Amino acid sequence: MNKKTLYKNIKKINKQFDIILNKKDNFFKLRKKSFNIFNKIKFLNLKNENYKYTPISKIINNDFKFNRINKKLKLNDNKIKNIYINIHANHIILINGKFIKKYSKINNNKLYISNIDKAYKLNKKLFKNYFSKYVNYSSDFFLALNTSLFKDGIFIKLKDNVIIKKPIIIYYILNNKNKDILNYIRTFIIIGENSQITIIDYLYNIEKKENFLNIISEIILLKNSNLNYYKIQNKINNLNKIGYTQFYQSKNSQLNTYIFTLNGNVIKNNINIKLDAENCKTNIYGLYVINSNQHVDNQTVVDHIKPNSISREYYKGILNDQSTGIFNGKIYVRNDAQNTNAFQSNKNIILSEKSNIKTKPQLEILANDVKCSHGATIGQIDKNQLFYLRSRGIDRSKAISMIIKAFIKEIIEKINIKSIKNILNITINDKLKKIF
Amino acid sequence: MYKFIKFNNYIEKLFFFILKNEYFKLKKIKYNKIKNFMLKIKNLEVFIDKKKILKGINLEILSGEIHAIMGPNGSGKSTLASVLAGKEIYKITNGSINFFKKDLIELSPEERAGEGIFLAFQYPVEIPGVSIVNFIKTAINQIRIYKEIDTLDAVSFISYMNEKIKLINIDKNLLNRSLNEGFSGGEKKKNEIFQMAMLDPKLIILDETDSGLDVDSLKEAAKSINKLKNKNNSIIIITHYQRLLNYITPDFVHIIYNGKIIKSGDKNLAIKIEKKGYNWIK
Repeated sequence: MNKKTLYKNIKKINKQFDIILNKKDNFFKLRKKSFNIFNKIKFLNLKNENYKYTPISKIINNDFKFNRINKKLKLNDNKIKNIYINIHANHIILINGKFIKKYSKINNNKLYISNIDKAYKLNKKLFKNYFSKYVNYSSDFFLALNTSLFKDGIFIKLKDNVIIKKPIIIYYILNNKNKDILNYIRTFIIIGENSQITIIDYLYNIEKKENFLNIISEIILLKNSNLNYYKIQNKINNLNKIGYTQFYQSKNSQLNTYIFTLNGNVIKNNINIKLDAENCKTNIYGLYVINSNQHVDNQTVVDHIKPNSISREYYKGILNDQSTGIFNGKIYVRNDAQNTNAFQSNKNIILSEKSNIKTKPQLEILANDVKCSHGATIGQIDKNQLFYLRSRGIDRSKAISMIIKAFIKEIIEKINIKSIKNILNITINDKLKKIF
Repeated sequence: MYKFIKFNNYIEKLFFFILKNEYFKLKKIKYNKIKNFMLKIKNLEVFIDKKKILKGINLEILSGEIHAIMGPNGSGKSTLASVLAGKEIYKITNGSINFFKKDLIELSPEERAGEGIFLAFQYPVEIPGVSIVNFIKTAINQIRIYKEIDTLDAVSFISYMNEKIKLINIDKNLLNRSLNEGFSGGEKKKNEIFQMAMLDPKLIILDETDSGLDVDSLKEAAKSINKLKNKNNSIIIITHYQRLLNYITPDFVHIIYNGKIIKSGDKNLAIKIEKKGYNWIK
């Protein structure tokens, strides 16, 4: 690690803080607190468990520029047309972190959508109870950085007792013609009591330049609510991302979250779920299909705080060329969380000698009447399966494709939206063609 | 006929000896030209890791024939089957395998399937997530592409498949499932026979198809296989026991022991094995 670049970057960050050190800012106290913490952490402690295997220094050492001034918010019509996913939905467009109403298409009055500053005035109680409350920024450099410096952001609130059939698609578009731009985005979502909705995060790095995205999403499920949440990461060539998604579940709530990583440079996916009530259900499905020099780091934390909740985690990965991956799944079952039912599984197929994956399940169980199980496998294409298909006339590359598709089918078939399935299948098929 | 000729001296004897050999040579050449040699294995030696399993196999099969290969455990039966199908863990160190005069050793497993070789596995592997219908359609069309003939479209494929389902009496529901996933032994064997019916191979190798089957399932399997048998295809039945040979009658029976074929005969040889075991041949 180059000390000069490091301190240069710290100076830049400090300068940024000076810019926003405005006592009138709605979140001044929070920002100051997190910035002090950020300074204390000094710089990224590379010996930190969570970052040990992820080449963050690669990103940090670059001479990056902050994207706080929100340039490049205009996109020509053709470009934006090609980005929309062709389904009936509520389309929310963010460009470089700023909500652009002009390009968005929202047609539901039970949804309240605005930037975070504007939202604060009308939702002070919600902000007080939930905003940045469960994000553990005191432990993590990037969480502290984002909390200190975020601007604009997006706030979405679904009122109580509403079932919305049309999904929300949040397009996180990065429009940076230069490389080494540091973008940081904040999202805060409230799903009202008894309400149901599907939300799709669609990340898009238009110019495909190497940039850095630091994103925190906080999603609060109030009582009896139901959320399907998809994170689609295929249009993110050359992007380095440290993403942190914090879910908070209230009584009887149900969450299905899907995270797909098919592209990107260094991608860190942190999913944190707090089951802070009884009778919660949560399913996490993760799929990563990576090649060349891509790196994906999947961290999950499922925290069973109260009794009678169920959690299920299924992550599958295919790694080719020199790609590397990490899976670290933590499950906490607290003292009071009796009758918890938790399951975790991570399965990986490695296609080349140079790729590797580190998988680590971690369980910390304090209650005494629980059912927890976990499993992890790392393997190659099963030679017997391959020979069986070839002995029937199917050539080697087609046979490997069939086996890989069968492997990832378990995750893909759980997707309820056809267009999303198609988008993913197209990218996956392209990647499979490149194997040979 | 030469037995009745009295030889006056050894020169005459020699003359007739040479004549006899030439006569039989010519007869053999004519014989070869008339019959279609499907498979010719010559002096085949095969290693796995550093162990020699096949120590010089010689075998000739013509179109339309049924050959049984019997032998005790470890004799090399299944190795022979796997080598014919092209399994890559086996190293061929000597000898040749010709299939309709083509050098089989040069061909990949998928090419061999294209040429018309089909191995019915003893323990068919499970491939969850691959549907049988999709799998067999892909296989049929890939083989058709290899043979440079038109592939089957969806409609033709379905009617072709329905024909075969009727022919071998397989439960249609089985076909909607994932390949061999959760199948019983009998269901797996039935699936192998279904694939056989669909792919219409020239050389069918049954690798211990009778293992794990009860008498009724065995009869069923034999019935279906007999339906698929015609004068243009051949079958190699690899087995321990004589049982299956009661229902599928072999033209030739070969005994393989310690990597070599040590005795050949007709179906009576199989009956003798059943009564006496393998020890008397060793």
